Amino acid sequence: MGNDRSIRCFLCRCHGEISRVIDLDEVARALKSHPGVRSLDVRNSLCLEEDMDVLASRVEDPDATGLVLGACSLYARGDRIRTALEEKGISPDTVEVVDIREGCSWIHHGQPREATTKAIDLLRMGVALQRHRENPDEVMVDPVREVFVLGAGPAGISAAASLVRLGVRVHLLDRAKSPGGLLNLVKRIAPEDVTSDEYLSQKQQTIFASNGGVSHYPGAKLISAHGSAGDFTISFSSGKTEHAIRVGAVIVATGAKILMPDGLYRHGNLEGVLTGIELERRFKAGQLEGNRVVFIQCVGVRDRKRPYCSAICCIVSLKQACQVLDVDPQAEVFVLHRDIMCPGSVLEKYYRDAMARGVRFLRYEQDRPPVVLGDENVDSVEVYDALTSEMRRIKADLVVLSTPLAPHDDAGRIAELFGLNRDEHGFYEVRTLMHPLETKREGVFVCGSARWPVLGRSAVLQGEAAAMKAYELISRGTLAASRLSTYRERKFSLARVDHEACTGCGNCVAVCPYDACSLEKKEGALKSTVNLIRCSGCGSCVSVCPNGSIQLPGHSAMAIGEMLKAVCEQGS
Amino acid sequence: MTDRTEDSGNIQVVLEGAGRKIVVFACTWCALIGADGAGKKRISLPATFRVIPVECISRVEADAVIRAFTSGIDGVAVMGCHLGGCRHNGANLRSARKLELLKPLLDTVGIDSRRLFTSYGTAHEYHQFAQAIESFCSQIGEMPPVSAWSRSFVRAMSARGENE
Amino acid sequence: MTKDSKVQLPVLVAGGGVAGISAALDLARAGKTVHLIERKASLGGQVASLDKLYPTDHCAFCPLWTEIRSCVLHKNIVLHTLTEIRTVEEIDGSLEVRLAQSPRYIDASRCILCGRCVPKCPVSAISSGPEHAYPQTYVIDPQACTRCGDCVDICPTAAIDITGELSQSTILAGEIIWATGFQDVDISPLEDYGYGTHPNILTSLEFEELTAESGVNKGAILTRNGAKPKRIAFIQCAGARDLRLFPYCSAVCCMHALKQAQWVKRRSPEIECTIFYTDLRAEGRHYYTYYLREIGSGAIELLRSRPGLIYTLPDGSGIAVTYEDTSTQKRLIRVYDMVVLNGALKPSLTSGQPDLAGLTDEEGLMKGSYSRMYPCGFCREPMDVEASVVQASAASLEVFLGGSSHGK
Ligand SMILES: Cc1cc2nc3c(=O)[nH]c(=O)nc-3n(C[C@H](O)[C@H](O)[C@H](O)COP(=O)(O)OP(=O)(O)OC[C@H]3O[C@@H](n4cnc5c(N)ncnc54)[C@H](O)[C@@H]3O)c2cc1C
Ligand SMILES: Cc1cc2nc3c(=O)[nH]c(=O)nc-3n(C[C@H](O)[C@H](O)[C@H](O)COP(=O)(O)OP(=O)(O)OC[C@H]3O[C@@H](n4cnc5c(N)ncnc54)[C@H](O)[C@@H]3O)c2cc1C
Ligand code: SF4
Ligand code: SF4
Ligand code: SF4
Ligand code: SF4
Ligand code: SF4
Repeated sequence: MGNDRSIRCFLCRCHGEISRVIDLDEVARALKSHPGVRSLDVRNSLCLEEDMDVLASRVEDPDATGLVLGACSLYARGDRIRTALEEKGISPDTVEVVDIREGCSWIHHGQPREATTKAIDLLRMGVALQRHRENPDEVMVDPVREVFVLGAGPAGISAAASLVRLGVRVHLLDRAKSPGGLLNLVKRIAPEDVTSDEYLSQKQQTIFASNGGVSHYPGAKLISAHGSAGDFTISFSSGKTEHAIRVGAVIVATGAKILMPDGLYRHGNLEGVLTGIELERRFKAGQLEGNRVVFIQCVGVRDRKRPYCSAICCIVSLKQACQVLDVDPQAEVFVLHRDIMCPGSVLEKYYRDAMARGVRFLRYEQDRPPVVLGDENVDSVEVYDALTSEMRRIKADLVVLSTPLAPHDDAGRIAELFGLNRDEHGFYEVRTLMHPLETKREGVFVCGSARWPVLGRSAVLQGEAAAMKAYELISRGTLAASRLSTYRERKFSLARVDHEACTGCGNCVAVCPYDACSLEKKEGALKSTVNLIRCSGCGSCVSVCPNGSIQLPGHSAMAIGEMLKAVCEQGS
Repeated sequence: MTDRTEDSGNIQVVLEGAGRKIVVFACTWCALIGADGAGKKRISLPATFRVIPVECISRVEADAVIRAFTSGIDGVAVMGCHLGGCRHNGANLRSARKLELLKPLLDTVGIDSRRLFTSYGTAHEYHQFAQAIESFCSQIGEMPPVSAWSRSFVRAMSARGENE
Repeated sequence: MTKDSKVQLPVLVAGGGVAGISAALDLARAGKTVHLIERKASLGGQVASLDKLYPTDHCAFCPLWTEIRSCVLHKNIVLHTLTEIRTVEEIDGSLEVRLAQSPRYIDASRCILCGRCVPKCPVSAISSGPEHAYPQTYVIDPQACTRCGDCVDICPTAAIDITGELSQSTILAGEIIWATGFQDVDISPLEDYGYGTHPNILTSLEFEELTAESGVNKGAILTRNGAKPKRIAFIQCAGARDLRLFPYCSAVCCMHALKQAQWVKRRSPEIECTIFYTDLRAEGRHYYTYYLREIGSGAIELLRSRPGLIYTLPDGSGIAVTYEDTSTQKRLIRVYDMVVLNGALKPSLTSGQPDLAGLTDEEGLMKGSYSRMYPCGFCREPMDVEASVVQASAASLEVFLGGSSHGK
């Protein structure tokens, strides 16, 4: 048993912060005789440059040495020690900083004897960990400097245009014939107040003038996707030809679909009841009849079936209300809403302006929705005004139903192809807060309404942000898989399978949160294999393997077992 | 119950509460930060616990817990992030479920399940960590050590224990 | 792609909040040298002082902290804390930025956190810094410090030097990313809100700090006087969407009111919480789900009404909130023990820096774009963390694009 790596221990007095409580002489005595410990020094402050130099000079062969430092916590100065040593050529894998200050002398200051015993235990645990540590597996990734963008709406177009300007080759695929996404159906874009052609033209020009920098495949169909960050293989058909491409990163910008109201508010059987998109068509065709228009918000959404807010429809209705007033300034326009969602400065101003122009707002309650009246044509809308607590009847020529965006029907399939999770509503799930466009699959980014309904302005921003993230990944050159993630800068111990012991039970495959484990044929039998680019080193697989054949080399079951033994050695 | 009465008969000879050994598997993203904070604040804590930092508590398999009890440990604490709020795509949810399942099993082999303490996302502040450790350590201190019978029983139970 | 003959200039990121940190990391990872300028002693911005974050409901410092660590450890990022930008001048297609750095007094690379200096200071100017600051170091408050020098000799590692003065320096940068975020506002000029007349009429950030798990009360919900409140009112749009102060919607306060009320309920279910709101803007990703979870249970009362007068009862026993009951159109009064004013948040670029005031629009927000300067985060427009981070990445991209198109 054991390991011939020689362990060098250094104990830090920390100018008395440790040595005042812990009897370091006793600790030194106990450790010197400990198996594997080759040398032991006591210093004043290991974290200062002076001592660090001495420390580094003692390590002749970094690969064959393990350093065990009795010092302070990782977050206090431990991190700093490890980084500084790394700069001196000593891998952090070989350095164990054992916290005997925050975790011992400072919390047991009244119990010097117990603290000393504990420090010995902790250091023996550190020694055990270093002795039973195996060098972690590492693969180098050299990312393909090309990016795949799925969906040519505003999000996808802005991602593609940005990347091509950075000199990255882009493959832009859309199942639709023409680029522009949903905005193609819209006449004017709020809050910028430009036409959809103007809105996208600059970016589209960049793409189509890029001299082949962007390969655009309209009317194409995605067939399959494999691989992981830095190297994905994607195949699709465009016209009669099939393509297979290799890219370093994937940007999913498939947007969302417009929900139809399914007969709500008598849509489909009463003339004059339209959806927002149907009204856009009338605007585009320049045919708008009637000047008494009532908008009903939150149709088919913010209810039990679709308990989310689609974020864009309030502004869309405000815009359309103003457009009705553009056509006929005398028009009477009502917006029946539950809350007007105009956060921030630009949208709030848009709301104020709409009010100033004479758009009238009336709040209804979810459990008392408006009722559309009329025989063949719309006649009026009856609504309970939640502000004045009165029933109101509003004469109307047109009723516009503001329906939400909802996930595409094929979202499940796309999610499967790219290893994405979906949230409870069906949109693609991302890592929250500080990593809002990154997904569980490293190298796959989601932006625009595919992630959550957004206006064009946010779709464009997210497209650009996703382009930046993809660029970060593919522009860094060759790098170690364990350093690939922008999710953390620290080096991780990734899982490793002992193929002889593995019985191919598949437990690890079932639990791995990153789809990093898979069963593959090895010498005739199925064995688990770890994709080191996907693995995050969480250790879930370790905990379910029935025979210990999958391990984190830096923290193996064996090492933990030895650490536990070290705890129990003393006093028994 | 009877098992436990036997227990206390066995051990009183040797040790009092202070001699118990407790290991704490602390997730580096959460509980370890609480532990660090407790140190920074110089909070006085019982010296019976030993922290083993782990990347994620999903790495702490039932076997590691059992192995701790067979090695002579009297209490095991597993302290990680908010369930589902961990940095590994919710990995800790599943492992937490497993640990909860282990608890009744421990009872059946005469290891009081209160010896396995779990906390999720409630020990990241210094005072929370200190409070959790204090009460767990004193609880273990009041219990007798795990009986030799239970230790050997679980050793036999643990497949990996035999491998070595 | 084509490299200019002249050396690549570094990028300056002004502000070390979530937006600034994200921008700095994006740029650094893609190969730029970054100077990250932060006015305070540590990174994190406003989020560092928050308790939990919607929509995850997990601790605020945790997601932030990893990024801060990455920033501190990244070799392409040069960190300037306690530093402010004084002037920016465009010269020959690059930006000359003058910085003013307050002395740190304590050298973070040498401070071993022993704390011996603290009791030595006669005016208690030394502290261990914010709870979750990284890197950890003791700090001397330059305002309070009298330069007596008593602490210097006790320090075992000679980390303290109190002879430091405010130092000026100049950096030549290619681009600037502005991410200076926002500040709390004193809304006492709007007298109807009664701010300043009672210790328990608080701003959102004051309430968040008072009730944070890492704060003075360790997460217990207590008033400023340490008593247990029976009723708390959250007043939305206080000073926001209000032409007298800030016309814009602050975008984050509806959600953080839900968050705050909810955490009050979790910790002390017996406290009654009322949210007085205009529109409940829960439109962001998963926000409506969050809203339903809290409101669905009925534990938190939602009242659609913009309160009139808020004032302290003559006998001091509570804070009166007057409002109109919309169903009866009657004016009513309710008495609360704590009132939280959510709304007014002020973009923080202009404060105290007249030289830079020209950069903002009439609402105090940064304009869309400038030559070689890219604003992102809350200083550009009120927004939550996710939106700030997205915008930071988009701004980083602009840096690369601006540079490359310029080179052509
Ligand atoms: C009635 C209405 C009015 C609107 N008005 C405005 C407005 O005034 N201002 C504004 O800012 N926003 C407006 N919007 C919202 C705007 O349409 C969206 O913000 C925007 O389209 C989102 O962009 P996107 O790129 O994320 O998605 P989309 O525009 O939906 O584009 C997604 C693209 O991906 C493609 N795609 C989807 N699935 C696949 C697949 N499986 N394979 C290949 N390709 C696929 C689609 O064909 C589409 O081209 C309006 C929306 C509606 C419904
Ligand atoms: C009470 C409250 C609760 C909130 N809760 C949530 C929540 O739960 N979830 C969520 O998503 N969002 C929340 N938010 C919003 C969140 O705080 C902001 O979205 C976020 O802080 C914006 O980040 P930022 O980097 O743009 O600005 P900031 O966080 O304000 O950071 C700006 C930084 O720049 C520095 N700085 C300023 N001026 C200068 C200068 N001249 N020179 C150098 N440095 C300078 C500041 O010191 C600061 O560190 C909340 C906001 C409030 C008020
Ligand atoms: S954006 Fe407005 S209309 Fe759309 S779901 Fe939200 S509240 Fe309803
Ligand atoms: S360590 Fe985690 S991510 Fe890696 S293979 Fe195992 S379960 Fe998957
Ligand atoms: S759990 Fe273990 S035995 Fe089963 S497939 Fe994975 S590595 Fe092999
Ligand atoms: S005495 Fe020196 S080392 Fe100790 S806390 Fe103060 S500055 Fe830091
Ligand atoms: S986010 Fe703030 S300013 Fe906007 S509506 Fe809500 S409370 Fe008012």
